[in-house]
Amino acid sequence: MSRRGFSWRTMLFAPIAIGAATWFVTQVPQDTSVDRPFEIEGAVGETVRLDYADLAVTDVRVAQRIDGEGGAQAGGVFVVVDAVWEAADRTLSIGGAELVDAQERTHAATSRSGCATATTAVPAYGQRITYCFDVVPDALDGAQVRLGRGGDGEDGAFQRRDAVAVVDLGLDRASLEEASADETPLWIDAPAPVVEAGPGGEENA
Amino acid sequence: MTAVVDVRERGWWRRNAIWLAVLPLMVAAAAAAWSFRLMNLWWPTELVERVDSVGAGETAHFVGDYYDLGLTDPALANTWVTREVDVRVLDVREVDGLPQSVLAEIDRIPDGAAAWRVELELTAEPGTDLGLCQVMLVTSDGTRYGEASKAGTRPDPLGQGNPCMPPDSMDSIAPEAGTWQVSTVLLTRAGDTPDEIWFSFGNPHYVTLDVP
Repeated sequence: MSRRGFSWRTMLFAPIAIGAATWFVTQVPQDTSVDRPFEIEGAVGETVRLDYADLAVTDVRVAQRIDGEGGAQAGGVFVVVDAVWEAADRTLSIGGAELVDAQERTHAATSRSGCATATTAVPAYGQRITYCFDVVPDALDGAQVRLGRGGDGEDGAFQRRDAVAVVDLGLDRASLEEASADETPLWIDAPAPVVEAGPGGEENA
Repeated sequence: MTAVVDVRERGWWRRNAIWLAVLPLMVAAAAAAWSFRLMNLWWPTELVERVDSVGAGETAHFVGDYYDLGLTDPALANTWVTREVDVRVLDVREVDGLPQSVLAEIDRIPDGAAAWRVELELTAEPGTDLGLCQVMLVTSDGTRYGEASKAGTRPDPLGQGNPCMPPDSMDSIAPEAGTWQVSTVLLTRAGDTPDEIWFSFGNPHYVTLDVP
């Protein structure tokens, strides 16, 4: 084939190929199947097995006031979630914690009053952590927590195509009424290793 | 029948022309899929460079460069320093108790875990900075016990100091003796038996030593 023939074919096909490739990329459904995290559902008291760690949400409480490193009054109501993380095969930073309500509103975890928003998980034993979310009262119905190693990034970039645990908290209007009736602040423990096995585990003092 | 004969006559290259055209695209897609690993070439955030690997009882030679901020020795501030340490495993055995320390978060072996005492002999030029020293136990399935967190902020939950330093040392500088022994305790899952010890000062360099 002559040099000239190669040249006109290239000039003809290259733009077509680039155009076709661009069209193909725009057809890929980027908002759903491509970059969504792998959500693994669980319930309170169950162990959720992610590929990088095991997670158990051990307790869920609702309170108006919390106390730990200085007290805090909720703007709405505090949802306090105790969880235990155990890494699968290496030391991990766990940074993702958000509460999603039935209306798909996302609430970030708060660090007020000693509540933790991140921890380090290791293999060999569990690490207990208490997350707190200050939410509007109507967010309790059907609220779920999304916990994972990736942080909360605005667009979920750090959870893209990674496993995330989604745990239904089993809360409703009655939980709020109980919380309103009790004025005692809920004590928030600092994150600690779980030394004693069993439901919820008992951390070392 | 004639059609079948025609197809055969077209030859292998022509029959597979579409697949041949697609092949370079598939190779390019596969290369793109693993290209994130190239990041380790210029920004190694993992233990990716195994400097030495030795059998049971042998001495591994650790060599790794680090950028010194001059926190320990101001004369070295903002320079690249080569750290060289020889390490040999003297003993690895399961133990029933944990070291006593007022800094410990864990004062007894957690349920479902086991404790291992690792004894090492180290040799380094006196004055070598041994900060960020890590000793890990690794099982045959690749589980790494005792690895420091990426941020390097989490202290040892057993309250032990730098695993490269003798127990009474106040800093992380190699002692005058030149050769010395250290002992550290690591937790694993109960039932897991470590095959290897990994020795490192943070990413990306490490050496591996078979457990005697």
